[in-house]
Amino acid sequence: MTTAPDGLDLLRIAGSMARFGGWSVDAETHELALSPEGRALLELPLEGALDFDAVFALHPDEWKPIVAAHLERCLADGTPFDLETPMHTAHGTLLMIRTIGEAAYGPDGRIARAQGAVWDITPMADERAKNRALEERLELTLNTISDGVFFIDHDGRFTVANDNGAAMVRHTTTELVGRHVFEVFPEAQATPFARSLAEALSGGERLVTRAYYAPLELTLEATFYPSEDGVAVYLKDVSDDERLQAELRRTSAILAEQAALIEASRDAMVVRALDGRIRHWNRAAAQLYGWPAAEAIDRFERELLYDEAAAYDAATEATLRDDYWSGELDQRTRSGRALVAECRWQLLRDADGAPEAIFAVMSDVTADRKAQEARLRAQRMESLGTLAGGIAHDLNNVLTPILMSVQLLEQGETDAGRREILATMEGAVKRGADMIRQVLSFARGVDGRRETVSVPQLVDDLVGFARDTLPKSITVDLALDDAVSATRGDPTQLLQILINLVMNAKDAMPTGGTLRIRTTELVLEDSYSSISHLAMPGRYVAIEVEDTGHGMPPDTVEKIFEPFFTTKEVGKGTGLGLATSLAIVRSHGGFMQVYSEQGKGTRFTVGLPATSAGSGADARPAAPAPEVPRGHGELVLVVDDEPSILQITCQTLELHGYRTLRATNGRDALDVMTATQGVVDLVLTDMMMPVMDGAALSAHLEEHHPELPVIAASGLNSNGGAARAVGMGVSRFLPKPYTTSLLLTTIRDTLLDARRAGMVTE
Amino acid sequence: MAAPERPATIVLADDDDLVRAVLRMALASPSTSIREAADSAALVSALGEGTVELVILDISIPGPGLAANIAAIHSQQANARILVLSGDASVPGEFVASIDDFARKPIDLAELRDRVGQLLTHAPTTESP
Repeated sequence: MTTAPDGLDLLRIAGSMARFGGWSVDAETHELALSPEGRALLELPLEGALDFDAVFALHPDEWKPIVAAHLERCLADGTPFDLETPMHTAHGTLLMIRTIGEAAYGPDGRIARAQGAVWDITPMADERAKNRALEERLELTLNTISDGVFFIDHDGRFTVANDNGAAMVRHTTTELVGRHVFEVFPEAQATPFARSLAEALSGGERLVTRAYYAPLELTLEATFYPSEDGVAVYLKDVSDDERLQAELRRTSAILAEQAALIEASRDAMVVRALDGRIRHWNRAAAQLYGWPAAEAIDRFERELLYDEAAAYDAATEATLRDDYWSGELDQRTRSGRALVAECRWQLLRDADGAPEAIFAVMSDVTADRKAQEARLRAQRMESLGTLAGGIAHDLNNVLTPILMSVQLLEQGETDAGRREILATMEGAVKRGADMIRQVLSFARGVDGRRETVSVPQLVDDLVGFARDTLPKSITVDLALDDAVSATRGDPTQLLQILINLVMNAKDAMPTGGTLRIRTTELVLEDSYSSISHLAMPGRYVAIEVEDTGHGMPPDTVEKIFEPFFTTKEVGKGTGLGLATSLAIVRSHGGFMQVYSEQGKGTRFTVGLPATSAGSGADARPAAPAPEVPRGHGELVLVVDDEPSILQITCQTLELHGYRTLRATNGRDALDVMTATQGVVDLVLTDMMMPVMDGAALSAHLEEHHPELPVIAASGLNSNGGAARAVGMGVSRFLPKPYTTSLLLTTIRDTLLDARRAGMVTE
Repeated sequence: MAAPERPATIVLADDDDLVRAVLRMALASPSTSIREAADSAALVSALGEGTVELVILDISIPGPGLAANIAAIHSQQANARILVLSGDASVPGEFVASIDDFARKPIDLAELRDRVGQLLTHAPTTESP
């Protein structure tokens, strides 16, 4: 017995009761199985493999395409069939056979095979009646087929065509029958169909050809069955099928492209379901927020990114209502950094138009907002200045008669008591006039002398003042570069500014501390001026006055240069000191910066344009620009919570031969270290960061990667934190803001030291 | 200071009544004669009332402006000295050459008298009556 595929058992039972045979044709291989009853019916060998083509050939030629058409349909889309056809037995007896077939599905839900029953219905009629009946049945059966069936004789002429087939090729059966194929379809001669037809007419195997036929704008699939009288052709219109597949290919290509674009986008793109759970999280989102996609997906976006849910909820509501919402929201990254995100939210709907998800595009505009705030602050100061200037002018007119009247009265007054009262009045008026003068110099700028000022000389005067004035509890620490360039300006005004800073420092250290005065030369590059306080790029002499006092909270630091802003008690300060100082420094073409850490101290920097000549009298030729040391592909992990500094530092390093990795805090840095499996050559970390600060990071690295050099950068260079840090896994200290050459030199030196240390231990 | 044949004439041009009053008191003496002007028009007519040795001019009296006021003084009283007073910290640079002195308000009595004395002493007295 042949190997019977599954599904034949029932049919075999049925077959054994009547003259029923069971059959099955495999969808992939066309392997034919036939039960013993079926084999007996067709007088086939009862055992051994059967050849599908040989059994199929037992049908009379004109019936072959009909049977084939039904079988192919059944295998293709599961259409069942029920046919009455003539069929020869292997020994040549013509029988009338009824064949029923249906599709059988595999476990994957696809059609695995066609299967059914076959039995003998040969009527006991005379031959003629039988023949006539057969012809009628043929025609009837042909037209039950929805596809095309054609017979083509050896001369290439149509002998039979069914109605649907003729319609498919835009003709009628009468137009086709008797005419040559290429007479009707001259364009077909150059197609694969013509080649297959020729091959089929010369005998051989069943052929299937699928091609696009341009004149009909159809994609056709033709199955050619060679026979004695020519060839039977079964023709299917597969245009829809083809179109669907092409559409599918195009759609999936577009989808893949869109997915790639979303992944590659610099904006964070997040899709969240209506319940607020994250469904998609692109690479930029992972970068911006510090959460990898695997950890973000399925979390509630609201919990992941927002401290304040009210604004988020309102925006979500607006998106659901209007389909779209755009605006700014405060968010927080994994490392705890606060950021301002510009959001564009689009409601996504499913095929039925029901809301399905929200697609959010978000970009970090924190730096823009800060720049904008700085601009607004500058504008506010300017308008305050204009207002103050106007008031000051009028106040002077008010004070003039008072002062002069008091002095006129004093002239003739001999009574000591009255003279004292008048002197008090005079003193008060003069103090008022002095304040107005300060307002005016802030508002209108300051005229002053413009002469070459030796900075070491200026600082000498300042140090003299500081030593005379400051209490013993304050240590004065100097780090002076005697070779700094000179500047041009009014030495009296400049000294006044520096004295003002020293006095502020004294006030910040009521219980004592260290006052550090430092001079240095620095070059502000284009990229750097965005962080500096309104400074133009160029070469500057910087004078720093730094204390170890109580420091200031960030919102105070922001306003420190505004006129009338004072941290002192009412009556103790006018709030004009630093505003006036800044006005004076600006009138010198310079800039002022402040850096403060609460509880640690404050540093003011006065930057004055360096004149091209060297310092003072002993002007020497400008030192040749030192060659900046370049890296050789060493991998530097830069850790800073300030995106602009991170950006500039990495850019600078990459420009000078290093490779960089970025992290926004200590924990982030450790994640990067783990992810890269310790291929980092050096870590450059800021000291003051949220989540895990530089000290904690360097301590951790000291323990787990003792060979890895760490450079600590901080705005304060004499505070306890930095001093503690050096020696605790920190190889070197880099004061902020650092210049390109200082950055590169420090990194080069640190790497060299690390290499030497490595050689010793080896 | 040599006793002049006639008192020196000073014009006080300031729109503030109190300022003019106090300046008049400060400068009043047998050797000075004082005229007052509250605006540019009054200044022009004061200049037309006879020889003027000194004009104490506020930087912003009502009228066509400092430049016009200075021009009026120069054309009507070519030998008059000009002391500009201002509530501002300085006088615009372009006027420095066309005035004789500048003082910032509020001004000390002593300083005012000193400056006025200087200007009158060095005033050219060669004019013919």
